[in-house]
Amino acid sequence: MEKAETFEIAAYGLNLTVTPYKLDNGEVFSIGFSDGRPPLAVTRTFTGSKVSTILFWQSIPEGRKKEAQLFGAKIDEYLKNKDL
Amino acid sequence: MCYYYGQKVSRDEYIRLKDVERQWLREQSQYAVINGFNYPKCTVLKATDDRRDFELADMEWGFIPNYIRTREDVKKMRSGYKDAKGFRPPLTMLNARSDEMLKPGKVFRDAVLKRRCLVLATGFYEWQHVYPINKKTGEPLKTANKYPYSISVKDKPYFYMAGIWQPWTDKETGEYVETFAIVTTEANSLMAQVHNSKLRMPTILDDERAYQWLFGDLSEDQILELGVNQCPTEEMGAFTIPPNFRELEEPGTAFVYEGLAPLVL
Repeated sequence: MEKAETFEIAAYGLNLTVTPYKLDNGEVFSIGFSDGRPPLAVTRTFTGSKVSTILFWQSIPEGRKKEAQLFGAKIDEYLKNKDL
Repeated sequence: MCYYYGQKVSRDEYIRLKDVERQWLREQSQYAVINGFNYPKCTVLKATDDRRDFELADMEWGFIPNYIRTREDVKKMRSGYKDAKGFRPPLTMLNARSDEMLKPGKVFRDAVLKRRCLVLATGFYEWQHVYPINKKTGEPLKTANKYPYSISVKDKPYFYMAGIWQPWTDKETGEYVETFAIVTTEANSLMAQVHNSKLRMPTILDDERAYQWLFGDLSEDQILELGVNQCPTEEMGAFTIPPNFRELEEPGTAFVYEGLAPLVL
């Protein structure tokens, strides 16, 4: 498992500390929260066919899908802006 | 197509996600020191409803029986409290004794029969209690020195411990959590020296027994047989670690205590 540089995002009134990890078969982002809630691990996945694909975020393990989608979108936003 | 936690994905994607999950879990358990007395959330393997696969779930370590009504009552149970009958000692419910868990009326019985799970670990920690000798009297002192040990299974980067789980809902707030306890058995000759105050150890299951524990349609005798399973001494290793290991980035670093007798293997 390869650990990349941690970055911080402000979202929904919280400070998120995000650390990306590269695994053999995918990428996981570990998120720490300023409000003291338990850390969250998220990964990207997709559904659909070759014609239409929907990307979404999942928590690992299950159970925090809504948070995964909310904070995962913020990670996407951060990474997109960083590359510009 | 398959469903990954309620979301339709392709079979290939499902397999990839399961791989990511397994690797993440393995890596996480390698570094974290999980202190049961903080009642942390841990990742646990449980069977899916159709019992054809397993899924990973975040569960609170510390079994909460259904008769406990609220979080406030959970706190009281775990820290002890006074009532008209006197002081009620704390009940952590972190562990379930395999030799007692199936007895009629026991709080764990229903979970043992219906909700068995597996806790993945790379090792665990226990304290050896050594009573120093009073130089004047030659008698052991009343207070023991405690030496922490890291214990693992040889040649296994991770292993399974038997667990049982329980869904619980706070009757006032509606908070829902799944909680679990680790099943314990009698200490083998190695663990009897390390965990010499309690003479117990977690029930460690090899792959075949772990599969049976999770998916098997088992009789009570078969459950008991798995529950009391004792990982042999020769398959385990133990060494002393620093007193402040819980604060260290690499808690499993060997540390020598001067004058401490070595384990007899």
